[in-house]
Amino acid sequence: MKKAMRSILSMAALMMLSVAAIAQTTVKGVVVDGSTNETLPGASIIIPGTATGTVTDFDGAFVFEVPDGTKTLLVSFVGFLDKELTLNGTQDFGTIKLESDAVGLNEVSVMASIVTDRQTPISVSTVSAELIENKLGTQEFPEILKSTPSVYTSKEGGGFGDASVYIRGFDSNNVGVLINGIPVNDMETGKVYWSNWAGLSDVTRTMQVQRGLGASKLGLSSVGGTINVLTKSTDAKKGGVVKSSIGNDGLRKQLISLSTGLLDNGWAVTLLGSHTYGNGYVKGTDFDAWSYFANITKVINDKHTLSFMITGAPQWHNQRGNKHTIQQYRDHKDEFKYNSDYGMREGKIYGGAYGYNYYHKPQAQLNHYWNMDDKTSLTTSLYASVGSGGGRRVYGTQSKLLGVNYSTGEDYDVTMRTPDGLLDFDGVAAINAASTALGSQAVIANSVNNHSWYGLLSTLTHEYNQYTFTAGIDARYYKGEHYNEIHDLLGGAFFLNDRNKNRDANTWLKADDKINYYNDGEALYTGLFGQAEYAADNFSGFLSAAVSRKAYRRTDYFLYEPGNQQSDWEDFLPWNVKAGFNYKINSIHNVFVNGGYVKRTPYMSNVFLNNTNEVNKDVKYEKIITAEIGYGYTAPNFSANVTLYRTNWKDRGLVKNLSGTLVNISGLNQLHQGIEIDAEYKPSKKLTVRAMLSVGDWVYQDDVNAAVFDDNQVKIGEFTAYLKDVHVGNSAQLSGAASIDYEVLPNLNLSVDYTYYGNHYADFDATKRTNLSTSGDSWEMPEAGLVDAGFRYKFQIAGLNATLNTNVYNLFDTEYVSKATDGLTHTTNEALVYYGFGRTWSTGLKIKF
Amino acid sequence: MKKLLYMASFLALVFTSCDPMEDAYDEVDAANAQKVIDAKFFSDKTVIETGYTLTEEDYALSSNETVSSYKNFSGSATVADYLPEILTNKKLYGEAGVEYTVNYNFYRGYSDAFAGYKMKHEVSQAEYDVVNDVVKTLGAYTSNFSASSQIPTLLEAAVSNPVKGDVLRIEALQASKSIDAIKYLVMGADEYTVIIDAVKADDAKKHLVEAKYGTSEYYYGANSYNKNYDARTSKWAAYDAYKNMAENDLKDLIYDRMVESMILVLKNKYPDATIQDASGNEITYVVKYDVYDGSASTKYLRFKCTAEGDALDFARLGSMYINSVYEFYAYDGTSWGVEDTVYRLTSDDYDAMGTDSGYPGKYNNFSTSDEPAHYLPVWLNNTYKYEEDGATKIVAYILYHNAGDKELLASEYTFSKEKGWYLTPTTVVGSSLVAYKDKTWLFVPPIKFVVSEKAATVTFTLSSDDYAFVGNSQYGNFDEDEAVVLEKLAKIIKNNYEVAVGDVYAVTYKYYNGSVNDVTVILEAVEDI
Repeated sequence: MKKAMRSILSMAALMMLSVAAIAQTTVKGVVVDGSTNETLPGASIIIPGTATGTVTDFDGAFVFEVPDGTKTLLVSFVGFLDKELTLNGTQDFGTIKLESDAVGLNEVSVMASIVTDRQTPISVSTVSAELIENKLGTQEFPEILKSTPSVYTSKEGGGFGDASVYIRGFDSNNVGVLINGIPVNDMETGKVYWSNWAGLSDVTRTMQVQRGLGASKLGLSSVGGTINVLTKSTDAKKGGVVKSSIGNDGLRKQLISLSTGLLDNGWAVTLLGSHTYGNGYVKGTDFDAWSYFANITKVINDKHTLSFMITGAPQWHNQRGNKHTIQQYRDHKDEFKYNSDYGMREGKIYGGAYGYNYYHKPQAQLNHYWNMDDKTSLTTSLYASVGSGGGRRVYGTQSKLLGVNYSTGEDYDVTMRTPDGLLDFDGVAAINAASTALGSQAVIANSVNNHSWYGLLSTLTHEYNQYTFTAGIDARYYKGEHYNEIHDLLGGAFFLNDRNKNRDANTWLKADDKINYYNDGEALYTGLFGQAEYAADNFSGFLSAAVSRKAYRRTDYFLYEPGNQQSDWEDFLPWNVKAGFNYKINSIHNVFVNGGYVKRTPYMSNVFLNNTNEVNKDVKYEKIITAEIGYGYTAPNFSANVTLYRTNWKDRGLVKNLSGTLVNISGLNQLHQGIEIDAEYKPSKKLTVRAMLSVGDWVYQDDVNAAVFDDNQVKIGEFTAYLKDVHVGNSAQLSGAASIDYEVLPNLNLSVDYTYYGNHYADFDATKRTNLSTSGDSWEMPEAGLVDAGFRYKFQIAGLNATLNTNVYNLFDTEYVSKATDGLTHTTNEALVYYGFGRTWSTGLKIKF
Repeated sequence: MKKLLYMASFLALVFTSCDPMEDAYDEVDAANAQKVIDAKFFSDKTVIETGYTLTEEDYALSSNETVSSYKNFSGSATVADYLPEILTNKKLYGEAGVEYTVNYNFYRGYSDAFAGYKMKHEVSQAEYDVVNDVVKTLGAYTSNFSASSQIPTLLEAAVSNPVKGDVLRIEALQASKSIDAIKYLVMGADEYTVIIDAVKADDAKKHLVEAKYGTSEYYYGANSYNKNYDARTSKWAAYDAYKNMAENDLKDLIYDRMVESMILVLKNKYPDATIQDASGNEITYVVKYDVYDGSASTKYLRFKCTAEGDALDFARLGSMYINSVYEFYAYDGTSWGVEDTVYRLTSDDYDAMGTDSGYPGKYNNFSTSDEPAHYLPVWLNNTYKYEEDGATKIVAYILYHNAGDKELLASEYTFSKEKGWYLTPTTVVGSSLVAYKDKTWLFVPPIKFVVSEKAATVTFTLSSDDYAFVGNSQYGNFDEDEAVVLEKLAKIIKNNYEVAVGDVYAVTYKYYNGSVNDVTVILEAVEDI
């Protein structure tokens, strides 16, 4: 909050001059956050009903010459309730405390380890709710981070919720995502599916990216960073919001939010619901998403607060699952909106394999905040999340009739298309209907991944002198169900599938029958963490450690007979250690340094091999060693941060079968290092200029060499991957951004954002680089510079505060490649790509009551 | 403030106005341009199938005249030189690295054993010239200087570096009489005119001159227009003088008159004729004339001078024939002589083919109405029934043209167990390998590789492209049997180099046998026979 509102010394003098003619009274004071006593620079003090006002300076102090006769002043700051000051002549109000406009926000901030900079030696970027509201528009939720250093976001195939985010070159498997302090990375793979969180944009209050190891005390596997999302908690003020938006390609969104405010009896309820739907920018990516949010808080007394939150977003969306070569896009009438993965079925758009996704994952939390005393607090969160849904697949002996060759982007010879070039589901249905002896040759199936998880997170914080000690427990149980089920026989009478050992291969299968695979993955996680923090006037430091036991178990219902279907628990002991130190040289300069070592559990796919219960006994832990050094500069109207980082990810999971022997190959190491610079310049209240530059050098450190020897020391197998100094692919290693936000007229703000991406290498499978002649960097995408623009206008409708917000993304309709998969020869014409979106727009009206 | 905004927006425009994809599209276009060129190039072409046999139309596509007109390749218009062109003109293409077999007709001519029998040597005038004056004048041998006596000498001079076993078929003209000295008169327009003039000058005979044109007369029968004697009794009988004569009597008369006229001409042409020449040899005056008695024939009459000077006179000696003689001559290592190993059809052999009129046995020869090709295979099948497949036989026989020309010829037959004896073809079906490389057809000389110890002329290590070329791209190594590996190496070498017989390649490759090791082998290119 404070970072976003980092303000400078105002044009107070100018303001004062404008009222110089009239006799004046001097008013002064210092504005602080009521719950933390932190000063609030940039808080505004105005004479109600006028445009006359001032802002607090860097130390939260103000001196205001008001005309005689002024009765009241209004003090306000985003995130806090407005406070009215009654004047009685010249006054020194002393410390003016503003109360948070949300209940329980502070507690959850602590639990989520939200950082207030200049104190914690971590490199952070904070995105305020205001920024999210102004800039997000129709973009995917992670895209709001695209102006922060070392972040690369991509809409991937362009389906609703299919976006991906990379921090410092690491994908979501290596980026910890916390929602209200609860880790949400998949327990088996580490991935985060943003489509599960389609409603998050509506309910986020603050989003903070902590790069590197982050401040989270939990045993997270954040290698690239941590994305910390704080949802709204209960609004302390009664009221509500109604919002309606329209955008390109039939986008419509309606939202309503209601709050009771903090009632006298201590209860506060906030409810939010929204509906978003549209046709999608890319052909065949229409979608429909609902989201809901409820937060019920009971302030029991000074010491105890109980808060219940539930949020979820049931959605379905048609997707694009296959990349194509640049020439394939150029040749197609839809150009880069070309989607090969959908068709027509009975007159309606119907997504094909990897072309349709549906999911609903509500997450509920019951938080208890216990302020034991001034120095001690205990925050406990009991949470549960149940997800259900999956993606569409096509299976059968003739599934290629509705398929696209994933590795070339081209149709198979047998792919059936309508004259318009869409997948011909009706045609295949006819084939299935005619196949009376063998049943459906291609059925519509769902690849279902349901999961449920339950957890407990409890943090005890105690301050002692200048130390703050934190300790806690993080326990989770997760169970994921994975299976394919027949959704629709697509015109046939039955389907045959022989992959279930416990079922006759000639059984006539119907809709809802499971095929191909059916297994459960369970993970049980129990962790302990602790941190010691020391804060003095000029410096602060911390040391934290976490150790946990992570166990996996796999149950397979198809490959094994009953009684033999469940594996044993395979357990691991990952741990991490972090330390950091921040030195405030003076009020302007500060430096920090941090480092850490993380020993991480391998993913489930490296523990249980080839989707069976076969256990890889010698599977290795992955190790991450990271260090950062940073510098911050804070001046009246200008602040800047420079961070140098070095993250070494060692022994990435790699299992190969050499000459019949299973070998866990070590040595697949990545080294990500770079410089991040970000700056903010506020020459006046009206103008904010921000800039960012990230220069990264993310490479595979060395070739991988592994050899297998038999008992006589004779080499029987060898694996070599040529990767030395090869650039890591899949995210732009050089990125920059600049943005200007200017209040053109009172209440009318114009903003322009420029983002630049360069040094972006195509994705490739490092483990397949076994041929010296195909070594070297993958294809480098052309660099791209994109401009977004927007305006917002605040006005009044029937006495209510209204905001009209319009955004245009990629204003100049620049064509650029946002994602690519490398071809064998690393050339432009072989790469399989997704283009970024062209010009898109949205405009919304929000009314607050 | 506004300036800042303008500056910022200007900068933004500058940074974003350049199209990031421009270079990328150029690269894709360049990569596709080659594809487009290739697609265009191949759009009108079809892929060849191995074992393709050239059709008659295909030969017509050749720029070489012998190939296009004879519809075959030969030693002079070779497959190596002209087959690729036909394939190109036929708009065929092949896949890289594949060697295709193409079948075609090849004119190999006669077998070595038989070729000589077809090699005709017709005695030339120059060759007659060197024998003696008589032969030179006649342009034919005489009985006292016969072909058989002269040919060996002739061949010694004519053939340089003969090899033992060489055979030639000699064709010569042979006069049927011995002549020691000669004066040769060919009856031409002048000569017949002399006769006609003489008749015209004689009042008693001049009524026998043909009235209309005056170019023929029927006292002697001379016809200066046709340059022959007209011996048709029907023509003569038109005149009163001969009307009532008997056929044979008239014929005799015509003959006698003819002789008379020749003497007349001789006297006219040789007023200073002598009986003997300087050496004392009696001069034979040979008159060559044409006579027409329903069909034209050329004949010769010999005269001698009986009196010289004022009483110049000639007397008829007799007729003479000049016939074509044929013989096979062979070189035995030292000299030329009549070839005596070839089988010459005997009278019994001809008889076996039928003795009635119209069959070879009647006159012991073949003719245009009794072709050898019709009879010989049957005769051979009857005579030589049990032969090895592929056995050959040369048979010599007489082919009758006219009384003066009974040609000696030979044919070679080959035996096949399936179809018996058949005329050995001069054109056979051959096949060769061709390959398509860089949009060009190449003739593949039959070369194979053998493992050798020789010093290498070329050393190289296989690249991943090479492994991919032979289907081993996945691992970039070989793991098959040695024979298979050698085959693949041969393919790779041929694809990378222009291989000539004698080249020696040292090739290093990776071999997988549980682990990957480098192996080097030396391969020599030898002719694949």
